[in-house]
Formats: sequence, structure tokens, C-alpha cells
Amino acid sequence: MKPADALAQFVQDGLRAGHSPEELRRALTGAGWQEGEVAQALSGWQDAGLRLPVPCPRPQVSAREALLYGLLFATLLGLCWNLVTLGFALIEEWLGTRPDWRGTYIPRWAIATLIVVTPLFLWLYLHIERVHRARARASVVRRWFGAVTCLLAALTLLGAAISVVYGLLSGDLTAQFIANTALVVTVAGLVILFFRDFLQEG
Amino acid sequence: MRAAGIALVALAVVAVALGLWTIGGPEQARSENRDAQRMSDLHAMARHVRCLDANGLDPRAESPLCPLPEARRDPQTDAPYHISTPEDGIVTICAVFETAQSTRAPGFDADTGCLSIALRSTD
Repeated sequence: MKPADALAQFVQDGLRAGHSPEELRRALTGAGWQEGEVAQALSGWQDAGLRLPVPCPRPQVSAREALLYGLLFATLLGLCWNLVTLGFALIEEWLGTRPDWRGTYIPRWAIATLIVVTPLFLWLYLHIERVHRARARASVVRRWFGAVTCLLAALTLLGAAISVVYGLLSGDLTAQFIANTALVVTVAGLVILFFRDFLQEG
Repeated sequence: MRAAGIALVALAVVAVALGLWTIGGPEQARSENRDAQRMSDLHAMARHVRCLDANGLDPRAESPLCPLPEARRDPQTDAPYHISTPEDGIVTICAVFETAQSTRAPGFDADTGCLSIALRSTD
């Protein structure tokens, strides 16, 4: 039996035997269990006064949910990547710094991708939110999606900050460089603001 | 929907609109593709002229030594490209481009759309 299973079993038996959650908490912390582990184990059961512990709904992973969040992640990635690519190309075009050899196929690909991906992302997000609210149950996939998305966005911000310092040190802090960095920071910042709640809601 | 999400999607929509406005739509893309074909044709014809020149032949001659390039006509109007010898030892091949050309290929004049070839046989 895994330690977590033993803990859950103990809590269930303890509640069944008529002990209060506070008594069980004291016993477990006295035995060396961490506060977080004890809290998680206790949150799995509710003492409804029936002398029978009532199991609480636990976060679940379903294949359908994983598919939806996977698609949402892919479309979000496609949206952000192509938004930045298109932004870079437009900044280059407006500042007249596009090299001759580089045609317009890069921004055209980005536009084509955004036209397909943006409505799909929007639809997936609204659909997932509707399902999530209707179910009103914690989701492990949702929490992981939020964590990975915010991690990537935070790493992007970190990279942008390093680029700015490097640009400053190497004397390459041009208008194009500043505009490109501002775009990356804006997109990454919006992503973090958008999905940080997923971490808490889980 | 959260404000940040609306802003992200709105940014994408604005970027697409600005992209189409700046880079142009399908007609502009077709024009660019035809211009790329014209530029490729001019260079193919320039290689042909240099081959004839290297073999001591007239730039307008036809010879099995120098196979003719496949495309010698404008992809849209089907008019032949204009070949002239504005001065001794220089051959120019011209095309009418639809979009502004920014290429800095040697011998190419973006204003006139002409590619100049200096013949070695007249040196």
C-alpha cells in the first residue's frame, strides 16, 4: 500500500470510528506527516455526522478532457507564435528593414494560421469553460494546462528580459528590437493574465 | 471571458487585418509570384546570352551549344521580353514588373526592370 493510500485509509477509518477531523489531524502530524499531506487526505472525506465518512469528489483525468486541453494548448501555441511572427514581419515592413531575399511568405503563413487557429482557440476555450462550470469539479488536466502555459510564458518573459539587457550591452537597442520585445512581452503577459486562474481553479 | 483573453484574441484579429492591409491580399500575392517568375526568366535569358557570348555567337542567335530557356514570354501578357543592345558590348533584357522591385541583383535596374549583361567578346 502506498503511503498516500495508507493515509486515506486511516482518515476513513478514523472518521468511521467517530473521531473528529481535528483529532485525526493532531494524530497524523504527531506521527510525522506533513500539514499539506494531512490536509489533502482530510479533504477527501466529509464528516456529515452519519458515523460514515462521505467521499468528496476528487480531481479526475478523462481522455476527452485531455484531448480538449491538448487542442486548446496547441491552438494557443499556434496563435501566440504566429501573432509574434506576423508582428515581427509587420514591424520590419513598416520600418523598411526587411531584407530583399525575404519575401512575404512568412507573414502570409502567419496570417493563414491565425485565420484558422484564432476562432478555433476561442471556440475551444468557451466550450471548455462551459463544460468546466457545468461539472463544477476540480480538474488535474486544467491545472497542468495552466501550469505549463504560465511556465512557457514566464520563460518567454525571462528570455525577453535577457535579450533587452544583451541588446543594451551590445549597443543593438534599435527601434525594431524594442518594438519586437514589446510585442513578445505583451503576448506573454496576456497569456499569463489569461491562464493564471487555471492554476488556482484546478 | 476574461479581459486578457479578449485582448489576446483582439490582438490576433488586428494583426491579421494590418497584415492584409500592409502585405496585400491574394491579387497582390499573384502579382508578386508573376514578378518572381519574370525575374527568374530574365536571369535564365541572361545565362543564355552569356553562353552565346562565351561561344563567340551573336546574343540573339540560336545554337545547340546554348539551349534556349523555357520561358521567354511574360507570364501574364504572353508578350516576349524586350531584348536590346543600347550600346556596344551591352545587352539588356527588360520585363514589365507589377510590383516595386527591391532586389539588388548585379546588373538589374529596379526602375526600368531591365537586366544588363556586359559581353566579354567585345572586350
